[in-house]
Amino acid sequence: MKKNTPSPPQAANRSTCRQGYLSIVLHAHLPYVRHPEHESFFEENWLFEAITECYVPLIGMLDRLLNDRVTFRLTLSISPTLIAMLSDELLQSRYLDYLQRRVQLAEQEIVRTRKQPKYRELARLYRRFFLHTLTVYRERYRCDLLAAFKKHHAAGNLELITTAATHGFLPLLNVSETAVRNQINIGIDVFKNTFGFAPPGFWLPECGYYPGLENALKAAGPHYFFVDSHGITDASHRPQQGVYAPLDCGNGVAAFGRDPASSRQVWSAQEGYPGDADYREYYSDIGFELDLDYIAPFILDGETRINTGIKYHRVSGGNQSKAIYRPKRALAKALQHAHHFIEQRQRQIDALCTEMDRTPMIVAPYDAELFGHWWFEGPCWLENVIRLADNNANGIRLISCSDYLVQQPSLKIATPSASSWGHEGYSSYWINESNDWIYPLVHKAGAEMEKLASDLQGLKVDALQERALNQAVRSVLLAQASDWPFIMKSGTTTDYARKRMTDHLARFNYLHDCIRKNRINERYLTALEIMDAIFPNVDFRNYGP
Amino acid sequence: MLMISEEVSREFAPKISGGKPELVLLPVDPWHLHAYWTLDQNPIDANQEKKAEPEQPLILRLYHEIVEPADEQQADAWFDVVVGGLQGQQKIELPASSFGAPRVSAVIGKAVSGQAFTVYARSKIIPVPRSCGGEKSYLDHQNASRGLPCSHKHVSGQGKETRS
Repeated sequence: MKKNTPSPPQAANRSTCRQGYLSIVLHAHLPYVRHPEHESFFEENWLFEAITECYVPLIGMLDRLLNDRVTFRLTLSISPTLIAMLSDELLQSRYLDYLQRRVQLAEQEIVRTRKQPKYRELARLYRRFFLHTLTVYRERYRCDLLAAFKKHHAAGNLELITTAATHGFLPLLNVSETAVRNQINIGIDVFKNTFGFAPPGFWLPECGYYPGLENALKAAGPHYFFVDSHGITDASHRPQQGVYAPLDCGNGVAAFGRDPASSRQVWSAQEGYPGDADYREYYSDIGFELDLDYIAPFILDGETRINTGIKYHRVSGGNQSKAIYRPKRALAKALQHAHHFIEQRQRQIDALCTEMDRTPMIVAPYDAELFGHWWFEGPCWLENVIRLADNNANGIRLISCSDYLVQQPSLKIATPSASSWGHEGYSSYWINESNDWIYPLVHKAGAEMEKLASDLQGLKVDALQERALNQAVRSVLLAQASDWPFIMKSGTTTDYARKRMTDHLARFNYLHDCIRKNRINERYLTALEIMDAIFPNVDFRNYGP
Repeated sequence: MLMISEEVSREFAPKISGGKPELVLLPVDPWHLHAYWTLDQNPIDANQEKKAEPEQPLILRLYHEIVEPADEQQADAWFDVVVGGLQGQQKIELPASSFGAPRVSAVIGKAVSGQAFTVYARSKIIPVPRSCGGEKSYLDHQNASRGLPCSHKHVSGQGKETRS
């Protein structure tokens, strides 16, 4: 095993260092989508598609890099809702069914495309892809992907961190310190119970930060978090190092800022790599393209078209009709883009070294689901970037934020400014005309839960009451998820988001009512516990003020 | 299970019911806040009758901290926005004089008898996001990297898809 702690780059020799750190951070999150009350449920496909296209390929990449003894550090934030879903037996079982259906569809496609050799070649590729995923998931990892991530953490290549319990957007929950504290603490508890150690860092949902949040983080334990670029550049004291050195928020918790250039190259709709004409087109899917009679067994209720994961076309260009996807060419482009990314970082480091008094740190955070799901070749690009960064000829060292804080214990002190990485850079995506109605309701439920916990402080409750109280906390937490206002604004599955929001609030109202009246119906309570089977160790007493 | 879920959703649907009067401010961006409020009808009616004056509009009065002492002479320490309804919410555009104020608070009430202002609910003090705008550091110039075009930014939840 190679030692993964990066060797210290040259000390702050302004004109000659030419060495810098690069921290790639992937944030893996999906809302809690699990519906045992239905035989199958469309939105559970969000998880299944992410496992197939993102998480299993990511683990495959980690396995190959480990086998090849590549020296690297990657950071992965796994949300508590995703942890809960990945370890859920019902969803694991449903995922196996999903994969088998994909294999079946790919086999059917091989037959259908028998007179179209290029399409048939792709259909065979999809069959191999789904079968390989099935083997890896079921045989190699025995349906436990969290164990795979844990293995790579133990190998020293992966820094694992987490985020708020249900990914609540903390700047808009801050009307109650209790709400923020529980989002943070419950998230960390889930992580500790899963991985057996405390997360060294914390991913603020949507990078949503407000001054003072660092105190809640300090109390909970993590040593660092991330903000968007303007969170650092608009800090209380303008940092001379820009986003290329973290700030100490004044209490020992460090804030790392996102590097805009690294983000733009990957995220931007215009300039970003994923929009290249050779890459696979996400929006071209046979679920929407083939005859309804043919595709009916593989779509929703046999009549509503959905993505199947089988896509035959590439992005192409301009107004051209979509050309057929050519995998080898796409993978070659991913390698070319990885070279470009590394060259750009090297140029950045060269420029920064002439001005900075310390080794520059470039932080490049991305949604994990970009890699593989939205950008099919993303995992290949990432693997190439990591392999290229391991080349000693360049001055880039992959590092985690924990490693950096060990190397550079002395940081400038300043308070970041309130910010997020969302549209317009603040809170407006999560509070606007499409979703502002939720906040009085969510805050009210939180306040009532707080009052309930406060009123019962020091009093003995029986087992049934305790279950109802804990379930009430789960309902409040699930209603606080940032995903529901996000979807309402994005205009995608808005009916579902509204229903989830109102269902969780209704479940809270029901539980609150029956607890107050001391008339708890165990059958109803059990049903709610089965439907929202998350956070098994939650304790309502912690929701007190 | 499905029946229980549907029954609970139907019978316990969330609604804002009258409780104690409250006014909540939420930060949106350096130029906007969001306010929501719930007021009690009785004191408003009583006040109206007592004063025997034509009905006055509800006013949201926002107070902002003065950043520079020199500004105190020039800047109003508050500004008013006319709002409506015992329960309501509204996006509030901050006036230029309050840009950069680190914190704001608000009251909701009615102006009566000239300068007097009857308060029905008070908010907590909240921090406002700061924007330094204009200035750029040498790092920004060198890398042409100060901030993404916001319309191109993405956020979490990219696994969520459209149904159609």
